[in-house]
Amino acid sequence: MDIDIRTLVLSGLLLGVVYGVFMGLFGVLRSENASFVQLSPAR
Amino acid sequence: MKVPLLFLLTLVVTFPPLYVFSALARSRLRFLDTLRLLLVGVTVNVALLASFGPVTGFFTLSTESYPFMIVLNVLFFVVSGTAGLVFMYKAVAAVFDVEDEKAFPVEADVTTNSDPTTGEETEDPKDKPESASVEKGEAPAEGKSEKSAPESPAKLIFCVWTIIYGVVGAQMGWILRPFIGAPTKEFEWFRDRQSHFFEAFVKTLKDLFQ
Repeated sequence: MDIDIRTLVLSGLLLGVVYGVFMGLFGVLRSENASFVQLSPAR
Repeated sequence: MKVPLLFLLTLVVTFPPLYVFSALARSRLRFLDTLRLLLVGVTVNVALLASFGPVTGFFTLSTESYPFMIVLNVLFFVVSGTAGLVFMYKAVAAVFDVEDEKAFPVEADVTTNSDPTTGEETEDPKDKPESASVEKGEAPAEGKSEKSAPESPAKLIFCVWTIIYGVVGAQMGWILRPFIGAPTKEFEWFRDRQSHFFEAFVKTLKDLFQ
């Protein structure tokens, strides 16, 4: 295997952050405590 | 940064058992090779997870149910994790198959006959163990190849490690929560240590259908 470990770690980190942003969106947009843009609060 | 941290910490916790067990199973994979193999599997896992991002975004905008979002994300993690592990399993199997051929060259000689007239080796399917067992009236074992005996410990170890990886990953996710962020609670980086992942997941499922 000639795959560079650093490349694997970096791509894993980047892709993980991408999904983390999508995951975190719900808490941000539906938060009852948010003082900025807010969709209807979650139930 | 919590999602990459989840995978990284799970890897740190579960890497030593896999390496030690594979060393005991006479794997020729060195430390860095084993690490690279795991990192490839995790990268496949995270890549698939990231591809689910737009779906998560869609449901974020279209639903208000917090339990639904939790169950959806757990489902995505399970699906992508399974795909990553299947990928890793195929890589492990390929590595061990190659090593078995190197480690057990006698096995290849069993299936070949030397032609006394020409001196050339000709392959005779009748001499294969499976064919022999059929001739003796024994049913051949389904799904077992000729090389199943020497390679089965390695694959068994990987299967056991898969379970450890899944359980550790689930609990690691529980420790690092919240990932989504409960809309009714104040923002917090980490929550108190209480209960465990499986109890909380069952409770969330109940909440979802109430």
